[in-house]
Amino acid sequence: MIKARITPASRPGGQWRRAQTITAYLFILPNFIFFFTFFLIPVAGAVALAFMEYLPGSQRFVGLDNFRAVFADPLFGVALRNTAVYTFFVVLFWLGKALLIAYLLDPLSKFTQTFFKSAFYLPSVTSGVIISLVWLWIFNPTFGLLNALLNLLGLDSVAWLGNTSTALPALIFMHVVMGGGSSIVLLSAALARIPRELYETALLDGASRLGVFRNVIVPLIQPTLLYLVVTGTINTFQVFESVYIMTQGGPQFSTTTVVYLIYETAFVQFQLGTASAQAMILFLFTFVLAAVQFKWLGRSVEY
Amino acid sequence: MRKRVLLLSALLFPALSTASAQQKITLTWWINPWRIAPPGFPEGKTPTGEEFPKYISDQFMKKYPNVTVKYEVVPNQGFREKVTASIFAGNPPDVLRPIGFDTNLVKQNLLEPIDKYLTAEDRLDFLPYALNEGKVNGNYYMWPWNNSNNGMGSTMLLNPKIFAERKVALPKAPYRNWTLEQWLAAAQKLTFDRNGDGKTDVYAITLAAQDTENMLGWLNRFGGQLVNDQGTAFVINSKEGVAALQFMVDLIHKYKVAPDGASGLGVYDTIDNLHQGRAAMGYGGIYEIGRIDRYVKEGKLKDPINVLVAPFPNDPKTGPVAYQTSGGFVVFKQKDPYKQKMAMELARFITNKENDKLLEDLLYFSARKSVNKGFDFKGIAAYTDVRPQVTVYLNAIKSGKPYYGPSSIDVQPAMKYFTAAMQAALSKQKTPKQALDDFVAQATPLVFKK
Repeated sequence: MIKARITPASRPGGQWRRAQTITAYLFILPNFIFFFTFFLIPVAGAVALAFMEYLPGSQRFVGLDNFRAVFADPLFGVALRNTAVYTFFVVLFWLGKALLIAYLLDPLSKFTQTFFKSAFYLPSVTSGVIISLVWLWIFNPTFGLLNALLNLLGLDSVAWLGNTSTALPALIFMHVVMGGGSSIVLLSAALARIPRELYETALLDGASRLGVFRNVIVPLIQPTLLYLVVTGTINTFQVFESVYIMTQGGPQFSTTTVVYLIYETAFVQFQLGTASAQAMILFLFTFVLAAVQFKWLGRSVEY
Repeated sequence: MRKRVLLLSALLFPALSTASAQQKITLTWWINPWRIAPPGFPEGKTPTGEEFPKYISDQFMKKYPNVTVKYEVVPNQGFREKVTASIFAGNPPDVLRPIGFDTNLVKQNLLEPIDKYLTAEDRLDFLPYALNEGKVNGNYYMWPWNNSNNGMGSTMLLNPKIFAERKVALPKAPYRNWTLEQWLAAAQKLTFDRNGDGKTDVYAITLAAQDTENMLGWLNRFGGQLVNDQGTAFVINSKEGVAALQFMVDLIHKYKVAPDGASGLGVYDTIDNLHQGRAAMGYGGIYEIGRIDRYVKEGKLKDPINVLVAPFPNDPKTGPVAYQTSGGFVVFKQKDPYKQKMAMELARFITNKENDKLLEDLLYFSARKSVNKGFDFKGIAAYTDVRPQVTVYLNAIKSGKPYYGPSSIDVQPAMKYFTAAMQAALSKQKTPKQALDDFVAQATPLVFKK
């Protein structure tokens, strides 16, 4: 017995469905053209560049030489370590701050919530350059605001950006203070979705507020937390602007991050191939880290 | 038949070349902001950096109506990146004023040599070191324009008001030379607590590890040199270099005449400290008087400071030292011979005697000897008598040295290690010897590799 193959097109209304599919593709085509032209092609170009010696007048395939050069450069290891430390602390404190503020805002009236959410979101729409310049003044070793406060308390001035042990923490502090606005908005939305009865029941059953937070709230907002951890890690791994403006990777490379090193390699030393190899390695690190975070944090997430 | 075609071609060829000479072309040129007021610029206003290239472009287009000149003012920050990106994109400007001549551009075969366009008069008129700044393998690649820089690494600026407040005698005119001992004695008196709260309000000087030119200025005081005269090795870890760096460390930690935190400071911190009266001395040449003038007009500085130029203190053994450098215009390789000719003509036009005179407005000297003779710097800063400062400055730069070594080598890839060495020493995380030895070990393979 021969079974007739039924394809969507041969079914009744198949033509209509095919037309619908084509229409859908046509709708996403303009976006795909832009994505292909301005994202996929440059990314493919960067991958190819990582295996080449690319000079203005000549290009030559060099195999894995650029990757060998990257791993032979002790500065790359320093940059990776700095980036990892920076990312760990910024994401941790950023998220902690955002969670705390969102939790504190949750019981407030809608108007008050909106006011505070806007206030916390404000730095996100301010230019990073301006923020860096303001913080340069705050951290100024002799005449800065932070040291003036320390002096008022009878403490000695600190060369915040001039000391290898304080420069990276100073940048982390700045990012934690200024960042997290969008995380607060997202976490507030996640908290608002939790039915109040769950809190009340837990409290009636004798749970402490901390217990409710840990056992009721955190598990229920875990999808949002996972999203924030992953996107926060990816974004923070690419820190560049503040390093470029405030420290130029110093003192003594203590704030040199991978993206800053990529910039230096490409635009100061004209080594586009090596810079692309650095970028590929950064991409791999970020990808693996995001995958691990998904696997680890996503275990108990229910969507 | 063949003969006729050849004859026709021979007859047509000159006509075609003439047509090509008159062909419409567009030239692009890039320059960082040079706030030079062109002729006719209104008094009391501050030029933005656009006026000078616009004036030059308009004048050139008047002279060559078939040429359209498009200029672009590229900000200092990110200048090198933009140039690099344009080169790799295969679309560099036709004419460029690089911030520092880059020998790599020649090595990558990107620049046109200018030798055949230089007249005998040009060769005699340009200061030899300015012409040599763009010399690679026996050919010249840069039309010299400005002589020396803004004075960073060459001279100091003194705030005579603070000298008077502390009853410290100014070094004697006309050349204001002073020894290290005299300078240090003055520096100690100039560092003081003005309001009696037990905190230093005014320091004598600012040391900034990220300010490479002034760091090298101090190192050269004692005979330290970044690179040897042959341009074959880093030699800054010599005993002279180590002694110089030790002196700088002592200025912060022993004599306390410079604020701590030098590792995190750059040249704009040194400028700001002088402008705000937080340091009695700063750095720079007469150009920096123009900066004060500009900042006052722009409202960035409330009151003008009357500053005096003085040389860095000299170790009598080495004598005065200043930073010898110059800048100019380079022409990128062209496929079209006519465009090449006109690009070269544009670079020559910008640097001709007439246009070189415009540098006077910015308190800069020209790379042409004949033009400098006519400079009087009259009426630029009403509150500072500029001419005596010119005398001091010219005397200082007579003893000029190329701090970064011969122009045929590119030390740029190693300079981040130099800054790191300065930071390590000035914050006392390494001894001066350790810091400089480490720098030489790290920098040598980057610059002097095969």
